Amino acid sequence: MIPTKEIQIRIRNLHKTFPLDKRLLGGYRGQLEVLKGVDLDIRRGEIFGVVGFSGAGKSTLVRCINRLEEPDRGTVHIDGVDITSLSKKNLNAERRKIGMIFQTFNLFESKTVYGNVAYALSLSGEKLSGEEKDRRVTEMLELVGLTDKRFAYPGELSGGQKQRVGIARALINHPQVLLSDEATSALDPQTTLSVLDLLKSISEKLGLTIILITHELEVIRYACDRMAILEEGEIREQGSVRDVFLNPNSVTGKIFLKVNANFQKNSWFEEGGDGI
Amino acid sequence: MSLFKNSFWTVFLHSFSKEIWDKMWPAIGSTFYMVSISAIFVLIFGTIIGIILAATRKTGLVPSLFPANVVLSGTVNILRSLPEMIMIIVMLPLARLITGQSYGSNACIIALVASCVPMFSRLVESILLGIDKGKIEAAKAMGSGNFKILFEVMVPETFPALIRAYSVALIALISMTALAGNFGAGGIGDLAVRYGFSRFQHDILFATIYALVIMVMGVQFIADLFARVISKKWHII
Repeated sequence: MIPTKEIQIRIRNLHKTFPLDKRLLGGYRGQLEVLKGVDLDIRRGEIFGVVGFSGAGKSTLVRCINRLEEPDRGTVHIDGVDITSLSKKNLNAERRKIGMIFQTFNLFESKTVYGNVAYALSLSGEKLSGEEKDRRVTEMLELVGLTDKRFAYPGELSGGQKQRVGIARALINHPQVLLSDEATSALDPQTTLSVLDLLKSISEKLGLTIILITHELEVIRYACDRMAILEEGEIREQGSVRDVFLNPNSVTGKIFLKVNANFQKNSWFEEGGDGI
Repeated sequence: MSLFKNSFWTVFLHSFSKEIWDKMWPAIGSTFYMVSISAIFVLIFGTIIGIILAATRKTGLVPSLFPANVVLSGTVNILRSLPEMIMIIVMLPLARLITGQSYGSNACIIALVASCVPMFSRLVESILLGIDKGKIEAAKAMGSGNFKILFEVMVPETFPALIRAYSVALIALISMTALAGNFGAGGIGDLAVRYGFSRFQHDILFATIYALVIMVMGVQFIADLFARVISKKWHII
């Protein structure tokens, strides 16, 4: 699906502060302001990248969207529903419409690949017959290319396969949004590409909106339609990947681009280098 | 046969004689009875209390129930600070109330359970707290309720560790049961004290040691086997 102009996720003035209490260790008591009023609009069906250095607040931002962290102030609207004001029960129902994948995969080691996906399906609240369940799980495993691993345990899988299980588990309840918290950061470049290809094809096929948190510029360039740069808890730049890449204004953006350019300029092979 | 009159070798050989083991088998049966009944109670109550302790912490799944944690945790601490010997004496009135007599195997089981449940529940608590936070977050992000997270994620994910903790509790139960023998509960501990200590019949003392060692090793072996088979199946070792 080609991204439309319709805004699906509207984040306004999002604040999050973590209390710091180090008095026991002879330190001080204070606050760590991680998000300082974040505004973001994310369109339906796009892959939206958020980059930033460690500690910039990327993870906190994405975890505020499904309220794994409670934001102090501000609102998150998804399809017109205000996530920040939902009651606990409604939040659980809403969370089923927001898939999430993680850097460390977080699969259940005691369940098979099939079991992991079936667990997520069992939360849907629909009354499904055994055959219906089986059909849905099998379909999903086909989509992520893990049909032959259905009875394997996560301990037997490679990193890329584990992330595919994570994706299957996140998508089984037909969410409209997928949050990816550094999902490719633990994978090698080749596996990263294959996982990104999968995410791109799923986004196109299902019209899924994906928010990709990453510190790898390559990931953004390869997969994203639009991006934002997060720096010290604030959005410094926002726009199409092309625009931000061609003309970065923020410190983070310039550093990212400089590192990238130096990489290409100083390539060992081109200069002859020391050789390895 | 005493070590004071006979050589070690004679006493050792005699500890395998039929005469000794005719006394031993009923005692072993009685110990086995006490341990297995207590074990069932410890498993049930210890698991439940351990789960409540882990879930109601301030950083746990239901922090709103923190007052319950304070009360429960305090009770557990008080019970844990009583040594088994004192626990038996303290529990005598309760035992009389429930079983109608303050001596014997059944009366003793109450003290055993009261001693071992708090210990096992702390073990369960610490194992549940040790689970990878990411797994709980993943379950939360999927929209799981607390009940489902507890019983379909936390408990199954930590199952091999829970089995090992249970073996620790079972072995503690066996040693507590031996002590309870001193208070009219019968069993292996009773034999060791009455014959081995009071009458210097060291051959019986030896026999009680064999029985206890074999029981403890058996429990440990079975628990290790279970935990290892499950871990192997999940490919986490």
